[in-house]
Amino acid sequence: MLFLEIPQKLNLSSMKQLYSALTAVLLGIFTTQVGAQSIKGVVTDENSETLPSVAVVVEGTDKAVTTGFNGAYEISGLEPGDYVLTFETLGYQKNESAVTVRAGQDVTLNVQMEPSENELDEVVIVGYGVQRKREVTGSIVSLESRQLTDMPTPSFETAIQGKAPGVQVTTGSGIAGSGSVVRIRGIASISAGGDPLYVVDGIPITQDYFLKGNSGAMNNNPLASLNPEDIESVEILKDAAATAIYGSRGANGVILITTKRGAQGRQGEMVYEFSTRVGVSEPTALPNMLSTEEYIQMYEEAWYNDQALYLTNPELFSTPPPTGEPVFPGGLSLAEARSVDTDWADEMTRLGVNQQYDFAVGQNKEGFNYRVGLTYDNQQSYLTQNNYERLGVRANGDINLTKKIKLGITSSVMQGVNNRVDEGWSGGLGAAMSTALPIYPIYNPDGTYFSGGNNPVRLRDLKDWQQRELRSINSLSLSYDVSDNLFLNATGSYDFMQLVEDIYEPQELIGTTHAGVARRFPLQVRNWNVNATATYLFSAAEGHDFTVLVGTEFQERRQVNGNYFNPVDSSFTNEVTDATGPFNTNPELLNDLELTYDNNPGSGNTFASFFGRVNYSIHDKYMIQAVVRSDASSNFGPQNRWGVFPSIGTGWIMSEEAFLADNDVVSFMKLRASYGISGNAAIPNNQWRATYGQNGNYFGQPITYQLIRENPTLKWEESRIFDAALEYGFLDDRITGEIAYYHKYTTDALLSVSLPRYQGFDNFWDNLGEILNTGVEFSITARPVVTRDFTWRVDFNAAYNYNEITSIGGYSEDAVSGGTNDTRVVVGQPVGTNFLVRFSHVDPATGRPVYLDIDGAETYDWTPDDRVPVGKVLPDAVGGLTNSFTYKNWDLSFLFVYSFGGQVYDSSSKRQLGVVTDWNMRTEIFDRWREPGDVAMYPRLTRDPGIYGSNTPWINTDMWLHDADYVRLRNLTIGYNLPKELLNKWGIDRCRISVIGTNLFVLTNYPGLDPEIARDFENATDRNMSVNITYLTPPQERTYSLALNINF
Amino acid sequence: MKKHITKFALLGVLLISGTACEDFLDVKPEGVLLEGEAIENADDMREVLNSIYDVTANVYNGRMQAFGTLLGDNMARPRSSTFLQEVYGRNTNIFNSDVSAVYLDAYRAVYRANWLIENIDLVEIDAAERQRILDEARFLRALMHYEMVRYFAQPYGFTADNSHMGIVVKTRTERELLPRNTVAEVYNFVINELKDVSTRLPNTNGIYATRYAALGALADVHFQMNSFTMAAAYADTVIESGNYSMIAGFNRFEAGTNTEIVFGGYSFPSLNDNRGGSFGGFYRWDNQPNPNPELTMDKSFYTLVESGADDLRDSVWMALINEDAPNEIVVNSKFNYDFMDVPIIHLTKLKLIRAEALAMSGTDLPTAIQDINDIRERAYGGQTQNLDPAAGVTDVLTAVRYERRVELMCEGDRGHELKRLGVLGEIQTIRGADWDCPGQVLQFPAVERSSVFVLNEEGGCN
Repeated sequence: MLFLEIPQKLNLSSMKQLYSALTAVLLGIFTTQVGAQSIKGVVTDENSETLPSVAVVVEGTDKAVTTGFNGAYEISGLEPGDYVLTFETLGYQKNESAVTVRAGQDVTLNVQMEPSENELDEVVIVGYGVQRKREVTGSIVSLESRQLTDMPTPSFETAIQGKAPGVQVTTGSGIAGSGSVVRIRGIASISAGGDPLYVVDGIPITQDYFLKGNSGAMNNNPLASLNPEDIESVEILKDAAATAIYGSRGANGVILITTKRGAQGRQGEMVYEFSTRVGVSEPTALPNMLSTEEYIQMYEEAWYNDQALYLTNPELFSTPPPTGEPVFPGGLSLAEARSVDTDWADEMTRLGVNQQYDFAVGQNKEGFNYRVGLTYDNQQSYLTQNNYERLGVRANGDINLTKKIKLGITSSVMQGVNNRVDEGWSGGLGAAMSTALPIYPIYNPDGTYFSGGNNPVRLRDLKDWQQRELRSINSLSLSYDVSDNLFLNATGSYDFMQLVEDIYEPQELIGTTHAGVARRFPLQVRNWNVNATATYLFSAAEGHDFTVLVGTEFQERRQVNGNYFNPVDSSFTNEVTDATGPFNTNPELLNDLELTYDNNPGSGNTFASFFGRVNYSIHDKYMIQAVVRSDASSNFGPQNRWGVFPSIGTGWIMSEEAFLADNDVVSFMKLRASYGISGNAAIPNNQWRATYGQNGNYFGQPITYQLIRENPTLKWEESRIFDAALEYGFLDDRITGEIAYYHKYTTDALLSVSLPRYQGFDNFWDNLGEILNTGVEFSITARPVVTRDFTWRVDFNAAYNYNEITSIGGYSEDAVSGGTNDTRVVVGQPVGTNFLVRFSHVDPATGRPVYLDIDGAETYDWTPDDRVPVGKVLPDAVGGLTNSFTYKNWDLSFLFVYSFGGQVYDSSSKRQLGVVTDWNMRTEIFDRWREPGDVAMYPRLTRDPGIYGSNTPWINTDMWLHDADYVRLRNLTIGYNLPKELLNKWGIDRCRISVIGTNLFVLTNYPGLDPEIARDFENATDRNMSVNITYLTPPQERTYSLALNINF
Repeated sequence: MKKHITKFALLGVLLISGTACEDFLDVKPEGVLLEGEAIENADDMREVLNSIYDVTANVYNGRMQAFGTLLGDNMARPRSSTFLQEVYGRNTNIFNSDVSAVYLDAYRAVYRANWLIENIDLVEIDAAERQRILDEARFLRALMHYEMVRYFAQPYGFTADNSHMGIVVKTRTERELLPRNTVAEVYNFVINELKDVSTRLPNTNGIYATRYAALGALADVHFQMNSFTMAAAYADTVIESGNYSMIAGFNRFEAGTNTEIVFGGYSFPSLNDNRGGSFGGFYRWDNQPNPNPELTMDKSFYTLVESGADDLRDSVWMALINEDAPNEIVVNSKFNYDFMDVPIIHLTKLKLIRAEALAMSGTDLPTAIQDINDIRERAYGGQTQNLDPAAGVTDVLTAVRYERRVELMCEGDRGHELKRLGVLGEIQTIRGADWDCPGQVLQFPAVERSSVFVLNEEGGCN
């Protein structure tokens, strides 16, 4: 995919012409043909800028050339006569010009190309090649660079939200560098990774969210180190016809990322781009925690409530309530408690300042092109002391080694530095929402940190935590044009990721005699990929054009964890005790230690693939595409190592038919349908074979025991996907869009089941599940007003998805669980079903919560046996609406995103609004039962879970389940392009200034912080099942930015 | 055209042949052993057998016994552990991870035994040793089934034909969804297995299972079934073997000292390996400045023992701390050791079984009285409280049941004992609730439930 010029299924005749033209040009470099007559000229675009690489063909002859970087062409050696010249280049309408050449005459024919109004003629990347959009038989959404950089996001994929139908993006939390959860057409996996496959410039990149597990309430985001400014386009492949070429791993969709090459704009010259953005970040919402006085009031009420109730109903209590005056958490007396009122949320947050600078230089020359980009990005989150800094360089280039052989290089090196803080359940704002009570001070009177209760300031200030990621994604590609219809390509890629985590905790924090402990955890992921393809074009008969691609690919991924060899005692360690600071600022601590990646066991997997694709086009009207990919993965045993993933796609361009050809209303209409099988192998390595451990001993004698129960038949998860769509263009394509239907049925879904314990094993990987995803998608782009000074464009998309687990092989709902989040697999319900005891109401007589048992009868007793499916984290419908206006040099655009039909489980509110414990509470608790007859939202205040009919205070009920419907103003941008005349004077091509606001407001009935939540997850199953569960998760950020883009 | 097709074919051959695919795709896991590496010879099979003992000792490290103790009437409410409080409160549910962990470990032992039985022929091994290894594995497998059926099902005798639901009898590694077997089926399985291996297991076998371990287990199983003749006979065989002798002191759990142990879990101090860790964790108080252990005795039980004339066990095995203060507790001293051997089948218990079984079957009262007196002479520091050699059945039963309750305090016996007495009709209630109320039976972990496996009823013990 490195060369857009490499054809996969461009219109065959034009492709042949392009290639023969190219050949002719190349030949022309070396030979000077002297002919009697010639035609020459310059080809320009609509702005009279010269256009390079336009194919110029003299119809009815074998004469063909392409324009040079200055737009000039010359065709010589012509006999006198009348000729028709066709001019073709991607993105422009085909131009046909007639010319008469007389004997001895050199004719000049200058041509101005009109841009293609029809977006359907644009080229899209399809995996190992490109196709014109009109000829694509699969479901592909293509997003351009500007759609990904139009607003500041913590990670590039966040910017996709609302712009691609059927793509659900749940934006990550406010922690710097957070990743989003992307779901394409629902979710077809349970325990295997449910994220789409990310492919950058042809290499399926390392996309493991759990390299660092779940630390500080954050998963490592493997996409954070991709610079959005480097991205030329993103293609989202949704159906089998589109994904089948990545067949093995396409079941949850594929996202192809293509980075920028060469230069935009003036051919042959060095073109510079500079962009910068500065802005501020604040939370979209802050928690409404109780102040000291409010907290004391609630706590005392609970205290005395219990004492009073115990006199009459001791049987309700799990322990007798203490007598006497209230003793507050931390052992504080009333007077002590009252003397302090700390606003912890305020202490943990700030106005974050973000800045980003990108500079690139590029050039397109005959024979080579390059682009080198530098980037620096410092994203301070609104969480104090938390920021993500990214510094990187990317160099892409192509060079023609000979007229037939071309070398392409893609290389990027990024250093991401994440200055971490504990968040969520681990500290920070999460502590402010939980056990950091307003009655606790930050400092003791003597100035030392208060440590008699949770003090997140102390933890934040004393703990030094930095995670550095070095990421380098590189590829080298060689292409050989054997002839004008046979093209070979070989590409080797290396994706290297090194994560180094440094943690330092001083003596005060760890409470030992050591001065402090410095720890470092280095890990590397080395990801190799080689592939080779051959493309062959031929015509079986007039109007029957074929493009055939065959290829093979091998990928090897290996992860190693480092530690340090200490020669003094020949031990291996990751820490130095008695350190005075972290390793990154005290490198001398490592002087006597030797870093090694060989001591810890590593892990890895491999893939081997063979694939082929045939595109058959009949009179440019009917398209058939057949793809088959055979993949082997080391994650499966020899019995089922290989999977075969075929697909067939068909397209019918109805608007080419006579009955629509001259229709005034319908300018384009295409029907397409496809069916195929996609797979998924994203599971932990080597789960199929038995392994044995020997840790420990009994009575001094060694022991050997099985660690993994073998499953030699473990195999690919498979999705059978049917897709049908109508693509339309009306009124000269002023209105375009698509209506699509899909039906995706997944079998052999990979489940990490908690086996019944009588099996003698905790977990087991097996192909057990069946999942249905079906839905419709609708998108429309309309340009209601297109005038010279004023344009208005509307992009709207909506997607409805129905998801249902149809089988889990007879196991119980609890066999697969979403971490601690009480989402379960329930047959007949969607992936990520909230499986909870139903709360009915607060009994006005007693103030006790009343639940519904499994039969729907009211009960005071909470038991997990009464759990039923009550909600789902997957929404029914998601989409976005973008309005873009331009007026002269001004532009305005705003994007609304929405989500309907899903639920949020506010898991932390069971502690913030339930039994009174050492957690602070939210002000909603004011609506509580106080005396008989009260009709209240929340039960009587109590410190005893017995009043809640339970043994523990932390019980999940649907009291904390809320509708997550929302409409959010995701992005509002106002831009101004400096006038061309002025810029020309300065020698600048383009200068744009814009102000950008994100997450300016959200319309929702959700009572918590943010209705869109991607919390920290325990594992892939949790990530699939527990999106939109919040547990002290910091809300998203709202940003205001000023941006400047200059091209010169 | 033809030329191109030839090129194409050539390319295809190059692509496909240039790969040693299967090697490339065989990525060895690191840091662990594959079957061929782990299981090569007879020593490896011995190590697999040892791993069954290892996990069995973990089941018996005090965790499981705490449940049996808390289901009885000797204990105060656990201080802070919600999961243990649920056991005590007789309202365990599917989320009780303490219960679930013990249950899983028991079936881990079963799995390892099944694996060994299915795979022993992977290696060359002497026929006699092969048989012994298999018999030891089957002994441990049967023992685990016996323990689990006592905790997770109503007792033997709860229904006349014992058709009430027991646990899953698991005799192969096959991954399968199984329904629960009836209690009759589980006991049949346990008895048949123990009987079979008892015919071949050696009389001595280091710390590992012997013929007497199997026979002692049979005594315990039959006693739990109120099958007294058999219980007495099996106990008698072990007691009279002469292999085991009564200890003089009260240090039944001290590592390396107990000559009464027929079968038990063993610590290995030189490797810092303590197999009584949870006993220590729950009860131990002597190494705390302000002792407040998780599990303490019910005051009335303490008073009962304390009021017994000359009974030493109130002071040796218990202590009253903070007397009459709001934080008054009765702590247990049986487990105040750094390293413990855990007696599972031991001489004192077998004598208690034999004595009560003989009394119930009315066959050999003198032996029963002697057994009781052997225990009493230690417990009372002399013969002052010995039973009259002419004591009648009622007196013998009263004595032996009291001694059983006190001698085996905190060893996990009391809950099962009361249920057994409930079946006999000797008692009606346990701590104020019907002896067979549903909550007296522990609930299975959530994941047991399937289309064929029905969970236990909960609660009903208030």
